[in-house]
Amino acid sequence: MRAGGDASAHEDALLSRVYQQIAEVREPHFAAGYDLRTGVDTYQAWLGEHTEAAASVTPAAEGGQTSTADVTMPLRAVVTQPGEWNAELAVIELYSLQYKSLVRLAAVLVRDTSTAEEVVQDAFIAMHDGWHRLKDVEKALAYLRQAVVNKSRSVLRHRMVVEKNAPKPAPDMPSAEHGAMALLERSAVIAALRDLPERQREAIVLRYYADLSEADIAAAMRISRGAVKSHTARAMASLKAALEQDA
Amino acid sequence: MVGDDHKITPHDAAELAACFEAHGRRLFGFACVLARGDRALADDLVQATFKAAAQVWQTLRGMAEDQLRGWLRSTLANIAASGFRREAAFGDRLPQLEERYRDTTADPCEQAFSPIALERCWRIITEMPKGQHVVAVLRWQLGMKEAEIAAALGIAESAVSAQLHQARRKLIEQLGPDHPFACDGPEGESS
Repeated sequence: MRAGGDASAHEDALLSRVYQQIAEVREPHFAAGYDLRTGVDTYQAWLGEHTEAAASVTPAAEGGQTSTADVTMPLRAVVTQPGEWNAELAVIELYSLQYKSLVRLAAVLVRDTSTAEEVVQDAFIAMHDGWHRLKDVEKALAYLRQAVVNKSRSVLRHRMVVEKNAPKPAPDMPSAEHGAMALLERSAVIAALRDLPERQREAIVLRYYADLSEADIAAAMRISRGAVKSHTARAMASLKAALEQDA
Repeated sequence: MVGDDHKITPHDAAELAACFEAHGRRLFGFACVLARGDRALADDLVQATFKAAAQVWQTLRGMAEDQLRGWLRSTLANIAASGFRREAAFGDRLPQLEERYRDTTADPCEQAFSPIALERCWRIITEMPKGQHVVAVLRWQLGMKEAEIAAALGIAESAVSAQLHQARRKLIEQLGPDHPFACDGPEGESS
């Protein structure tokens, strides 16, 4: 132990107060001299460069065929009459029914909630843009899942590159989402999942977490059913081995 | 800060701009204290902090006001700490002492230290070598432990201790015998 540790602890407390008080005294003076307008303008210019083009949300041209009366129909009815639904209603309906489960799916793949939400929102935008190719709810949902899986993959790829040469990111304050994720992360299964190869992890997550059938997984991952079977089987074997090792 | 494929939605952009309006001024004040009066640097720090906020806005948007303020401040301090360390140009931009801020209007009840002692400490802070300043800010402004500082800055813990020791001596000396805690000596002082 360092000699005089107690004394320096006392001095640390003292100096913390000094720093807080200096900040309290000086901050308002510095703040008063701030040109907030210019600051906001600079920031908005940057935001503008990084904001999605608003044009990507314009309805598809085929929307013109759908009468505006559809908007007043109950949503459930809209979905049961696939010929008549338009992009907005499809997005609203699927968003309300599937958003949470898709975020959970993406969260397991990309391992953080806020990115997961972005991934899912991007998927909905993509579905909105391509809605005229989708003829029924099942297809739209499969499309969404596939978009979520694809986008999660590219997030992970991008993250690997960024992590390799990025400076230390500023830590977030803990939030409710973080608490929830931390809880997830503590689980041994998640830890074991993380060590799996990417495709195996996707197959397992889609099978047991999103509860998809083999055929749906094959469609979402764009691989054959046989490949789904072998990915799932190998993943299960690795997980079993990993969890038995831990126990 | 934001990757090329990271796009902010128009709705988030509006919220972020409003957040800047609400918190920008006070955050700039805090940045100035950390940057020891260098307004240009403080300006950059504020912008960088809100760019970082845009990246994690989905997490931040639900926060309570004081929690958000805390996030902005600690993020700014972290950016400042890494900036101070990396940016070679910072040495040439050594802050000028803001002598004119003597007419402090803070609530006298909160003034546990005499304004003169604080002024002396501020002078010491502005004249510290920047390595010492960064370590001191992280330790006393943000309440980080030595090990945490060492990890954050990527330097040895012994180096952190040495820097803190020097800064501590200089500052305590400025407080003199008239600081409010002079009489209640540290418990268990046995050396």
